Amino acid sequence: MESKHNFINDKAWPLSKGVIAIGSLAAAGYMIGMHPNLLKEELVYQPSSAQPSNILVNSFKDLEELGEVLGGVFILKRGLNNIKFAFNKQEDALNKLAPTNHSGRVFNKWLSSSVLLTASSLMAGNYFGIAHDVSHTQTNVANFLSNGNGLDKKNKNTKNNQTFFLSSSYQPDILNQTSVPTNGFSDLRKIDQKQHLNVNLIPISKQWVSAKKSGNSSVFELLAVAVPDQLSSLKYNKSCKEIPVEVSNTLGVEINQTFTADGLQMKVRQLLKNSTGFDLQTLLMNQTEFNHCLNESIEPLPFSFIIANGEKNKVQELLKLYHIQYPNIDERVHMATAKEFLNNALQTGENAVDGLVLEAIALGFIFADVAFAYKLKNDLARSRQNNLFLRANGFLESDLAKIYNYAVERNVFQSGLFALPLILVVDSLTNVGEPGAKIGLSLENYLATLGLTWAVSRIASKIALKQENNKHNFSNGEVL
Amino acid sequence: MIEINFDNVGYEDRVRKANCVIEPGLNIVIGPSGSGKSTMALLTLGLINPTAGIVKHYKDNQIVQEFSPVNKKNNFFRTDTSQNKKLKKYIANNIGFISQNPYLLSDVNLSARETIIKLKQAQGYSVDSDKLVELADRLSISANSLDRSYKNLSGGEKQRISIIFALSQDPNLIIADEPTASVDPENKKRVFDLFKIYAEIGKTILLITHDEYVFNNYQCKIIGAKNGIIG
Repeated sequence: MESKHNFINDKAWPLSKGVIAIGSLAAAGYMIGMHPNLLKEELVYQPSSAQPSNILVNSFKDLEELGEVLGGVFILKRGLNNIKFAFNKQEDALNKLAPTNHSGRVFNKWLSSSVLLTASSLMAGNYFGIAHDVSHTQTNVANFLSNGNGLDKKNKNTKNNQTFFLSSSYQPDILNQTSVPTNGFSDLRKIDQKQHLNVNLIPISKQWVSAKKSGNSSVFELLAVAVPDQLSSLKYNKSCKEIPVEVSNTLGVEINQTFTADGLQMKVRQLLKNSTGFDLQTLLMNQTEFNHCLNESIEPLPFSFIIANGEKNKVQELLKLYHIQYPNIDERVHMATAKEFLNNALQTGENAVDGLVLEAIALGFIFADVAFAYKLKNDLARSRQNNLFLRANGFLESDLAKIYNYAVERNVFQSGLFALPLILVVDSLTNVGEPGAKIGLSLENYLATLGLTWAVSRIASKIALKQENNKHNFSNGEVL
Repeated sequence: MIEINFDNVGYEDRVRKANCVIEPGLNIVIGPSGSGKSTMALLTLGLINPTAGIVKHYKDNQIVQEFSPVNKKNNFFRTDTSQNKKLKKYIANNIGFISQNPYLLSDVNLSARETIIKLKQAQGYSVDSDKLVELADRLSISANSLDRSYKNLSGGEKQRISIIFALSQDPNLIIADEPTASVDPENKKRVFDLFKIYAEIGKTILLITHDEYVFNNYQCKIIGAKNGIIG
């Protein structure tokens, strides 16, 4: 039996598709924005060796871009259809928007697929990217600094000198932006100079790590390896507006290119060939000059921690004097050994990956669940128009809606359960390529994520289905 | 025991005049395509209202439902009005409908068994699992097929699952519109044998079919349909 359905009142359908599309893009943007250097062109990996995770990351990046392109094309297509609909209120145009229309169904499948592809590749790409980047960066930085790199030559090879890490936290890490009081570095340096303690102090800021242009590790390398004995005699701009630097040609920057880090303008003077490590990327000024520029910068810098190289008792003395000046407990600065820092850096990486994995998986499943709910919403609309069998067996509209509500709930529940093995599989895969990024998800974290995913998916899915339940008023529609 | 009385019933130009009584037992409506047979099934169920005459349902000689011309146009699915709820209750308790397109619920990924149970639950009824297994056995649906995804079943299996669904509440009236359209000959016989059993215990069966096999092999009342004239 032929049936027709009047979709004049069905404006919610394209609108709801728009909402989920915008939501997906916003969530994708949020994830990328939150980790600006981990995906896309900003991500620069150390090319020293081909690693399994590099290949995976690049594959997932490609997939992600493919997903975005597909999503974009079909969202654009839908947008054009909607515009056509807006300017041409003919029945044909209405039919093109109807979910029972073939092209509508095909579009919906493509949209759902592209959203799923984008979400899953984002999830996987972020996961591998973060695991890779965090573990490498943290490990390399910790090792690099622990070895005394970046210190003045006169200090770093001194027999009794050790490297310590100073911060207001017992566990300093490069991801914690405000672990050192704002004026801590300059005050410590003043005390050091006044008391002649010969402790070499280097501030490290998270912002250097996350600065744009050259990528996460790259900028950190650039600033952290101001090795004084490699410094050029080139004069820098005394106003500190343009600091000359030499940069590895692997970092994707060009000569005379400028970029900003912590309010300091850097200009690439020279590209260094065959340099992949820290040691060959040179800031063309000495530490004192650089510190001068830091002090000249407009805003005080929040440092993640301060490297202190010197004799242990001198560093202790430095902190003792500092605490006389700043006796409040929340202004205290703690010292950690290199080994403690290294362990903590790895732990921080693990925690970061742990949280982000859960977040990514939760988002991925929410995307998938909501996409499925929209599919069911269209199925429900189709059943309402076509399912003579159920109608003839006495089903009311509300009875039909109940079964689709059940399907939504069931899907949300099942996808939540599926998340557990997925986490374990991805965890295992990552550990193969990234021994430093061992994750060790806790049961309570998993349950919390599962609960959140279930709750959000259920609410979002119900909203999707409720649109169909609410809007269905057949008063204008002759059916038989 | 349910009896249906068609009294000068018409519906647009599809049924010009239907005068007949559907009695307990096997009633077969035969006639060429376009003669109004399927429309008659819809009129029986009240899915469409007649434009002339009246359709009356008798249960134990009492009128329990009647459908007559109304000005209001029907929704495809009925909404939750008190009148519709009463009609739903009557249909769900007394009528099982089987169509040639056995579209139970292919969108939702459920097994055949779950599909039947969940649909009945959505309607507010439970399914006797013994009854379900008994019907499946009679229609040669294995336990394995019952637990397979409904949407992956063959057309013939879906058809028989829809018959199980329609009969699961042990209806007093079975309306079957080409119920064996996609069923192989062996299973077709099983379906008609099942109808025969229901007819013998006093159920009313309205069977719409082209299939000569059934009126050649089963005791039945034949109602002819031609050019919208039924009776």
